[in-house]
Amino acid sequence: MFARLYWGELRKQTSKSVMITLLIITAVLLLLTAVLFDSVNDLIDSVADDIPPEEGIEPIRDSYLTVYTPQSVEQQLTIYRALLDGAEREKEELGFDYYRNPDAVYHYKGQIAMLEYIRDNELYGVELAYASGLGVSTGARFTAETFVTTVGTILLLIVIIYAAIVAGGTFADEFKRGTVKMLFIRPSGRGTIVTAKLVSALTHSIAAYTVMFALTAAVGYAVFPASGAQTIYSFNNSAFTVSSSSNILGIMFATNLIEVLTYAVIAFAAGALTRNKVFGIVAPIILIEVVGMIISMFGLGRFFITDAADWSQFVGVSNLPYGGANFFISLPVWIVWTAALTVSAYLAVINRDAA
Amino acid sequence: MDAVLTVSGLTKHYPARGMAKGAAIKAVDGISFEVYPGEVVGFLGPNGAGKTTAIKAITGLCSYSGTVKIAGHDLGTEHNEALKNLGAIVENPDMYLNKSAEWNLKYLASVSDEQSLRKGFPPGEKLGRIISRRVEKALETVGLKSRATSRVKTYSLGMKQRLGIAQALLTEPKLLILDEPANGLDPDGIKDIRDLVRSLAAKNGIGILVSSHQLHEMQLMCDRVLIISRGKIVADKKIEDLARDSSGARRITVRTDRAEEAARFIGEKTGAENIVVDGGAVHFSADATVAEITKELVMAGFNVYGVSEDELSLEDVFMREVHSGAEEGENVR
Repeated sequence: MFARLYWGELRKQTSKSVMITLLIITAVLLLLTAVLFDSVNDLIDSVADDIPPEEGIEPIRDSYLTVYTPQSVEQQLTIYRALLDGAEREKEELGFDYYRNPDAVYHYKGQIAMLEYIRDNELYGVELAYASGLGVSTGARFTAETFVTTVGTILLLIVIIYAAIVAGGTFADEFKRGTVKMLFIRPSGRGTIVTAKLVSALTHSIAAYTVMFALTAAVGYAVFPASGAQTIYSFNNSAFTVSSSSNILGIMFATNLIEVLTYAVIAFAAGALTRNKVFGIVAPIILIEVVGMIISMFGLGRFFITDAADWSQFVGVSNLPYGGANFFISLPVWIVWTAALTVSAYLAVINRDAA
Repeated sequence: MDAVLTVSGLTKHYPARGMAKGAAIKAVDGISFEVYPGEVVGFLGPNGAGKTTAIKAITGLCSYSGTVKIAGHDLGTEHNEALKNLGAIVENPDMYLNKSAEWNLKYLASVSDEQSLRKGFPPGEKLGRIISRRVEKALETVGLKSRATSRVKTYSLGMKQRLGIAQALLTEPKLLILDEPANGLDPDGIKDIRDLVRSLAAKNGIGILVSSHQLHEMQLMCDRVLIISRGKIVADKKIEDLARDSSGARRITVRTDRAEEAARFIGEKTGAENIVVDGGAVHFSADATVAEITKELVMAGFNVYGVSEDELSLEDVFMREVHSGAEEGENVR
């Protein structure tokens, strides 16, 4: 029964006109960004060609990659340790108020951990990039990776809106049309209908993001060269590793998907609870952006879904999550919030009069 | 014969906003009735009488107290089993207007249980094929086969009503509930719906509960009518018994030359009650037939100018039953 309901919902939620619109937006975005980035690369190349190579002057195309030496690592470690001391003192002085701000202690600990990793593994004399959130420093020229991460961030916003429209309207539209009565007098059980609708809305969100991301990656690698830079990755200020810069794309895809799914769950719950599509669509934005900001002002940002849904902040260094946050706080917080929203929508649909 | 719908003590109260704390609107107040296979039962009542609320409770769309059994299954404890035997239009035929009739019915099949869909088909038959055949049959039954692939938003109101009935019939239910199926239809459309309902009851043995405001239409369509007023059922009558009084006796009028004397004679001879003399006419309630009374009067030497059974329309009965309790006050406890 669930499988047929799920496929039925999936077909119902599939709108040709919306899908064509999404593809057109993606295509235009890819085209414009590709043309823009390619022009910038041409400009850099023309400037670089005009400067004859000289001893002691770094070629402009690699100026953002760093080559560490034992001295530069020790020097930077000294600086970051001093900064960490300062941040920890400030944390102690501010007490609970510290948690109202982005976490400088986390940030400096990440930098120090990365430098210690370089020192311990003697990663000297090689050009290194490092991952930071959903970015990767791969040089002055635009590469396939920088193209995908830049366009991917814009696409994320588009997919979030699409996910909110699909998920927020899945119940609200049924109530508005009155078709919810037709559904609820079938012997499927309201619980199965809720589950099928939610899973179907999430499938749509995943599929939309996957297709758009895949198109972006395909265009990125077709038009721009892969950086191939050795890149330092870390997770939650630990678990450091060095691998190709293209791995950032997989991380970006996964962490963005969590955000898309979070928006979809909030929209679904809001639409089911209020039976209002507009509220369903705007609820994630209100909750994540507005309520999240207010909550963080009270020093509780790390316990709210806004912070908990952004897993990219725990990838790489240079990140500033809310005070006291780390992945192992965010994960259970995210689970509790999404579960609570899903369960409340489920119970509301099951127990409230349908008409 | 077992009833396809048994309603016992069905009650639905809503909190009364703007009134004393704890006050409740008694939308449906302990109604009980049954619908049998092949029977078309009209569910009548003025606006706000509780018809649609009762239908929503019977179809499981809202909470209620009391008992509702569909084909012997308790809606409260065997929810899905009960709903397997139900097809319904509640308030309006609900459908996806941007999709075709065929799409709507196939989607509805996807939310119906496989067991009901497979009913009457050979065991090895593919479900997709069964659904296609069911959709085709339902469209054929309501006369929409030729417009199966047209978007529903291009349909007339009557066609939408018929598609609503096709949706309700898709899994061949034992009980069909139609809330205002002739609403907004022209005379041809109304007749089409009436013929369809009568045919479904007669040929398929489906028990049908139909709510409507159109009293004349109900008189033509139904075998029996329930009249609901202020949340209570105030009359439960077979159409053929509409002319009977509240005790079930026929109301008869005799026109004769000696009305006063005839009234006494009728009272003594037939045990008639509620005898009223109005000029040359005698009105009374009796179990005896018109032929028996005529024979008695003629044999007793009365000049009988006419004997007739009073013809009360459903409208007369409706007005009498609904307005007899009109002064009972608001339905708030």
